[in-house]
Amino acid sequence: MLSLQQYNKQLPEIAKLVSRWDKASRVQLIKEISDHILVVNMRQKQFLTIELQINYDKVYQVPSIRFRLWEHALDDEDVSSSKLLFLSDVELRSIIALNSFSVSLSSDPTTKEVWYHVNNCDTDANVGTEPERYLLRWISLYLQIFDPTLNIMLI
Amino acid sequence: MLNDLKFSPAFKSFVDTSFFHELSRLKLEVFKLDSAEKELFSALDLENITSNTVSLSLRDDSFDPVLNNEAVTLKGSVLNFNTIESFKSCDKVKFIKEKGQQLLEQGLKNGLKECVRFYVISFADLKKYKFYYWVCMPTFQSEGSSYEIISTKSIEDGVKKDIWEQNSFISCVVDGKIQEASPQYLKVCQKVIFKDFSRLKGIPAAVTKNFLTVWSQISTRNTYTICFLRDDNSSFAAEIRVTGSNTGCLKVSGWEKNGLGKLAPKSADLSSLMDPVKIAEQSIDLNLKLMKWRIAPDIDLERIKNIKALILGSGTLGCYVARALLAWGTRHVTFVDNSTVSFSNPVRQPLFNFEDCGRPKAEAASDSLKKIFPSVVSAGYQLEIPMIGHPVSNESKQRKDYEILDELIRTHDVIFLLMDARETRWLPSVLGRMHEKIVINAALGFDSYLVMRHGNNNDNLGCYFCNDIVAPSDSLTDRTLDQMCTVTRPGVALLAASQAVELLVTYLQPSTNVLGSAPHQIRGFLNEFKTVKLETPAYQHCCASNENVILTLKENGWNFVKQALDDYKCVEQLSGLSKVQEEAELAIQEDISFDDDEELSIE
Repeated sequence: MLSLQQYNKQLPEIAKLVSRWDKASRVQLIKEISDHILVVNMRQKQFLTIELQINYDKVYQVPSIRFRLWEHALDDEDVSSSKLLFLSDVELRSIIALNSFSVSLSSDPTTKEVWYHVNNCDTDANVGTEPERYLLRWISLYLQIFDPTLNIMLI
Repeated sequence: MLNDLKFSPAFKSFVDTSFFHELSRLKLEVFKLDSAEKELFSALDLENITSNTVSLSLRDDSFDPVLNNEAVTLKGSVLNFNTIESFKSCDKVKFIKEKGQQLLEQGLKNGLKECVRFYVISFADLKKYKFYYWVCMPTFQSEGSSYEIISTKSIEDGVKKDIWEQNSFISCVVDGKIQEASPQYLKVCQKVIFKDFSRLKGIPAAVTKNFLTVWSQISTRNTYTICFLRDDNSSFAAEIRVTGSNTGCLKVSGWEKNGLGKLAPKSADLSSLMDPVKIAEQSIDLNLKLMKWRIAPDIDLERIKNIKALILGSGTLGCYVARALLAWGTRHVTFVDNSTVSFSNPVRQPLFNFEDCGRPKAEAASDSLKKIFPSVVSAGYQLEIPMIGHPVSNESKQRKDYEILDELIRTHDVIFLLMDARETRWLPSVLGRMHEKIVINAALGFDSYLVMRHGNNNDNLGCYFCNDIVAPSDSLTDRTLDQMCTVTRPGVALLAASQAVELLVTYLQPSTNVLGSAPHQIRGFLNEFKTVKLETPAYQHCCASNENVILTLKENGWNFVKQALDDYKCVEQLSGLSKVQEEAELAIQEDISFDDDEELSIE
């Protein structure tokens, strides 16, 4: 578990690291009243981008990640259109490296928007409970879902 | 040899879905047909720049002027067109040129902070949840002018830390002190400090052109020094010479290129973004809120939406009333009925299908309503409304039914009386008056109908029973099938149901200027295709709205109901109807005389 205070303290540094990620086209740290949110847009394929959000799960007291896929196309009038893409588990695994992580679709209780949520039940088992550099350990593991070579950036 | 100053793209836009949601809400509820520009604000994250260019993020809070105080905020505006045609036909070259000119004038008047701004043009297709948009940040310089770099040098960390914490992205240095980059200080300052939007080595963001154009028009000097501050180790100061005419015609650019590097708008299709149930909710609201744009701006939709409707009788009238309420956006509908769906029902009663035959009607109607609109709060109660003049046969059950009915009426705002038998309406009429609820009554004949709202303590209007001089009694026993069933032209129920709901909606409005005045009674005659509006006063001896009757029910509850069920005459006694009847008898007797031939004549 990671306290909210520690999470908020460590996130700005993580934002800086993520902004060095060559796949990231936008990194924005949003300082909400209670917890901070890190918004990252990343290029995945030519016509596919991933919007991901790192936020704090107050129930499990661990960082949490949710994402959605955007498909882009150009219409007859050169308008660049974006549309959400919902894929089956098999199709999803061909785009991102889920490995042993499990992902499920659920809607945000406030906005009712649908997101893919990465299951965070085993977070402590996966990254340990030591608060120091917790988020660094966490992103080095969980962001590999989107980029298996991510660890190189973190060295 | 001197080098021309190069510039990096000014920004890269990221419009979050929350921005589109807020734009939709504002468009529907606030802007309506107003297509004037609206202020926007974007919090720039200059510490996490990717792809060498600042991200211009737009979110739901971008409409809020009190955006995050700690962030560097850039002002902008959105021009949301009413039609896709006007969005497409907007002259983008002219638009950005005019904006560039405005920014130059603002900069000359108020300083460098005011010469940078972003603009969004958009069209929101609220039916399809598709948004077309294009973002620009005008950058300008005088035609014929150019910028040469005289020298550059890197900046030590100590200098930039002093001002990095400040909210403003632009300032100037006057005699060693950091000041706002206002016209007054720009005349005398030694250098301008800009928290750069670019991270390309030695190449500042394109808005630098705006600063140089404004600054050179405010203060003529040989060189201009700008410090480009960055959060990494690439901060630098450049000494720049402005050559050529700096007051000529403006060259303006700044429309954002799309993903394929083309100058064209973007679109976001959010139709699959949300839970379909939520989309349904918003779509229903959309159709209703459009009324407020032009046709009925003062209509109180929230009141209609929030009202809790109790429908007594889940037959043809009940089904159509529920559907009409749903169409008006009402979210809370409760059904009551004592019978089950019969094989003759589905063709006339639109909430039932063949598969429902045999199911309790109230429950089936409620389930059907939820299938049509999952967000509706609906329940069905199978109970028998105790009927005046029908003696008690199973007291424990009938008492329980009475208590449930009383509780349902107490907890709802409007009661629709849509049952078959006249005597079924008596108890809910009394309870509705007792709990001070809106009571809407609809009754059908073969080719006629009555729709009315019961009077209340303020308007002195009558209820369904106010024209009667006898209390209702058992009208079902010893009747043939055609006398017991509702035998009516099928269209009559639709007419009556829709009039009942429209009467309620009109009545709920804050003034008669919104949807007109709500009549007391509407009587329709299909044989002549005629509708008549009537108004009848409350009758002091009415068996349902008489004060003694209401007080007795309030005080004695079930015991009084039981008495009324066993003998309807007790209600006539209580209300004074018996006395009226006696007086009428006497009057008739007095007015009847017999002539010599013992023939009856009435004067």
